[in-house]
Amino acid sequence: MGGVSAEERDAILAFLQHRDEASFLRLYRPHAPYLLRMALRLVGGRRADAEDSVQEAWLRATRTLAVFRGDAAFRTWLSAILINCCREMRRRPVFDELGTREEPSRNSELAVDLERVIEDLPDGYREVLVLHDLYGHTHAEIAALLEIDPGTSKSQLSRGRAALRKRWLREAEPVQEARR
Amino acid sequence: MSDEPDWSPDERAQLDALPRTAAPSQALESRVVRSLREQGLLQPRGAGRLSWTAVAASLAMFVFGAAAGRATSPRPRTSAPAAEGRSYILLLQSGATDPADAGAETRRVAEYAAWARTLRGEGRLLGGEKLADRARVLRGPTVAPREAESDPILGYFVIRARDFDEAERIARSCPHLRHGGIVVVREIEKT
Repeated sequence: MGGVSAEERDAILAFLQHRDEASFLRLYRPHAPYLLRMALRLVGGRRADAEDSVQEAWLRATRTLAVFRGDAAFRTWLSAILINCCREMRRRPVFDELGTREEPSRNSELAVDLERVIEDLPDGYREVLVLHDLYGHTHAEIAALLEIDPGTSKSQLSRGRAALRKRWLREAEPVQEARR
Repeated sequence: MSDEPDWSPDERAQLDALPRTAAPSQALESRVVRSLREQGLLQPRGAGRLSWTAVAASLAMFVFGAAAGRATSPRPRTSAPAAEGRSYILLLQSGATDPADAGAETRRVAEYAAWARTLRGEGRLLGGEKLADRARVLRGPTVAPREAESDPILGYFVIRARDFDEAERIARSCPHLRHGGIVVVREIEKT
């Protein structure tokens, strides 16, 4: 399992062997905070949808864990599953009608709700921008995660950054005006 | 490389300041655990130790079953049609037994063993083995080998069949397919 730490490998094998709650939580707890934050960003900040996506991702992961080859890091593998779950969540017809947004953590110094601006980006831009600029994935990794061409990842990032910068500045203007 | 200029140091700092994690609630954890149980992906509370080892054991045992078939089944009939023909290998991939159903292991072992005995009795089964999980992938004389402990090939059978169609028919009867597994049929070339 090249992309998996020895500790993770032990946890995975323990889960496959025991399939009990304790061995599952040994897998779940180290990754749940990361996955939940990623889900919140990918579904536009809706807590209920993010939690549903996380739940579905764990269902799928535990169903297929026995064939996880360990070529990628375990967290990357989980992220790929989660991204698909979030995409399916966004395709639900009632997606835009239901759910309340997570109140983002605010930094009073910034005065600009950057989190909200990111959440409002078009899905394609947001996915790539979040994975690249917030989680540090390379274009090759993003291409594999999203099943797109690396060139598409680059162009989406470029457009996503431009869109974010434009909206970010727009959001910031009233604040700057108010400070004058 | 992106055409859009990278973030300024100030912008970058603001992006970096965004949280990478969110605290999941206890309710979410309980919900996930409950849903896994409902789907049979976790053992029921208080159940005995479930046998993923039994999954591995079943794979070992189906081969042992084949070996047992050699010892206990009637000797191959010399007139068996499969005594002539070509050799094929059936590569068994994926296909885990439902981990929530411990009884499924026993049934699965019995199925594989019965299937192997039948083939052996017909003179069609030449051999079979379970493969251990550990695999080492070599890609060239100067490239460091890579450990691949979860290679998808779990085991194999070598059979005799008149032609590819008959080999496929035999493969279709393999219980591995009924357990969500994949069977790849390859003809063995005489060299």
